[in-house]
Amino acid sequence: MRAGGGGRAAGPGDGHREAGEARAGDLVARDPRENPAATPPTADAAPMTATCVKVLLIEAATLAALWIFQVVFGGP
Amino acid sequence: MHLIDWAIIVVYLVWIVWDGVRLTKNSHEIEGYFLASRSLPWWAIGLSVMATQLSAITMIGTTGQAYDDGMRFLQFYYALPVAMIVLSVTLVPFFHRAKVYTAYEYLERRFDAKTRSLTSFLFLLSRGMSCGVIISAPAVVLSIVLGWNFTFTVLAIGAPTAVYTMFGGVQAVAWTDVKQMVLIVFGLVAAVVALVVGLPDGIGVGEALRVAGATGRLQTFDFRFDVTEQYTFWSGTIAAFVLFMSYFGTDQSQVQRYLTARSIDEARTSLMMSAYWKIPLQALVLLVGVFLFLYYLFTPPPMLFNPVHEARLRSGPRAAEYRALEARFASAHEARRQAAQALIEARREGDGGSVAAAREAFRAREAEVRAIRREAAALVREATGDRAFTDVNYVFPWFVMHELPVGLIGLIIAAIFAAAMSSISAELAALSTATIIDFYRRHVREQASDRHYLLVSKVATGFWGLFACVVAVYAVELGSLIEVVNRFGSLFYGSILGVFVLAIAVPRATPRGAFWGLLAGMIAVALVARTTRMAFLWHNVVGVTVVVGVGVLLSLTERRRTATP
Repeated sequence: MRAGGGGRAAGPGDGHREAGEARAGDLVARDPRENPAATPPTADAAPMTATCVKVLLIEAATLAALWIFQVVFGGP
Repeated sequence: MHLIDWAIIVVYLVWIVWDGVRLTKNSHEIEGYFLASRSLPWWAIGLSVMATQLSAITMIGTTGQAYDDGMRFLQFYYALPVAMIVLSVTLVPFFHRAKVYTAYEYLERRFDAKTRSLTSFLFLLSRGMSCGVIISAPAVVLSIVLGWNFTFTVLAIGAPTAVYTMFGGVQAVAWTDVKQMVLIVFGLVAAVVALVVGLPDGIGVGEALRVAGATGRLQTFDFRFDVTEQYTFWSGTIAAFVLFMSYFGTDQSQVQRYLTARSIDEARTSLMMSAYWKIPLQALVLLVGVFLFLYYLFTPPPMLFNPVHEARLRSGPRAAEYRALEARFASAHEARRQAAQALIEARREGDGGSVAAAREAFRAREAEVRAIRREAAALVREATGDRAFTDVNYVFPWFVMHELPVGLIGLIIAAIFAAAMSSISAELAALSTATIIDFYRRHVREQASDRHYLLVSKVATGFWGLFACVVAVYAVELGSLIEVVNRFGSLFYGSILGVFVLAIAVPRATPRGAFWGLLAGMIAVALVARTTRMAFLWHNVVGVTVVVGVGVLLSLTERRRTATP
């Protein structure tokens, strides 16, 4: 398999491409507004709401535990 | 050190090289070598990412920092879970779907070749140098503690790592990291247990922690808003957020990890592991330092933990001065021990007034001990000319070598080696990937067989391993270079994130805006670093703001000019 097949980026030798002109294999065109076909970053990403809430809750609990630790052992 | 401990260290070094090299059979093509054929499970990637961040500097330096200053450093990590969420929603699916090898490849698709080359070059420059520092810092300490020649210690860390990374590629990096992470956590937990067991009879863990708390060492929240302070709640949540976004989102050594995942979901889950476990793990590292303080509160410590400097002072022209300081230290330490005991007794009796008085007395004795240690460190700097000398780096190794039983010494020293190697291997793999994909394949030889690219990739990995070892040897000779490199690295992180923000979030951004914005961001950070006392974490905020601001302005003016007939 060729290294980075399909992924090699456009370079100076790729001809005169205008802003917004996508090439096969490009995921994001130079100007997505001018090329609606350009894939937005998170289009096929699975929903993460539950994971986000879980992470934030665990972080809140961790920080609360550290705060309690500081108050209990660092207090007068 | 006992023969058994030496045997454990040697067995570890041989086993880790064998374990990494045997994965060569899975790296017969470039995608397998650089991206593990996108086949790694989330838990292996997650552990590998955490092992990379937990370097030997963390095990040696951070425990020493907590011994001296407490747990304030923990605030640095408060933004990490939020950064992981944002990255999981934005950049992880983005890069994963792009099927790129390096994060910088995308910049050429979006902007142009020079923006890609510049960011990749900045990565190579800063990571190549920092890789040397990652070897050098623990090698300095280990060479003194183990009585080895410094260059030999650098090679003992760098050469095995370069060998297994060179042959096994990113698969070797990930799977050795997993095992090294287990060893590191075991070493840390064993140290905490040994330290708790070593507390004097009749003093409970809770009572001892309250004594540490009286010195402010358990402070993990500092709400002062002061940009000259390195570790506050605000620098940890705002400035560190930008740093983590840049490090995990645009640094090849991290991006390459989640590109090895089987799917977007597995890549995200691997990052979530850091979100859940990084703060507790860092708290464990810092707790080792706090327990070291408590251990040496009740057990007489040496005034300085660096045996080489101590020996030089004892036999040098300022020996009398040093001995006088030592005598003052011994009596100040004893006074502090008695004050700590009095504070514990006062608490047991529960009289608020006497607790407050005992607490103040203990703090005064603690300040005295610290002042004498500062004087001793200043004497070392003057007498030896080692201006970068910080004794805190030797506290944990000293404890390991002098207080732990046979067997455990070897295991913890092996864990320190593991921490150094797990950090370096990932950097070497990333440096090699950026060299080959962003430069060799892009500018030198665009068309070649997979076999050819695999061969030059291995050569590149070996080259970066050698480069890191050379930097490590010279870093210590130049002394302050380590600090220079750390500051040098902080010039880039915010600015590089700025380019990616322009690329992804600003559709109107043009190649010219991105390129000059990046240069403007780095110049702005350099100016701020040179002319103000702003803590380096905030440099990242300056970098990203200037790059995005200048990039947007230039892009808008360029478009207006293009639109005008």
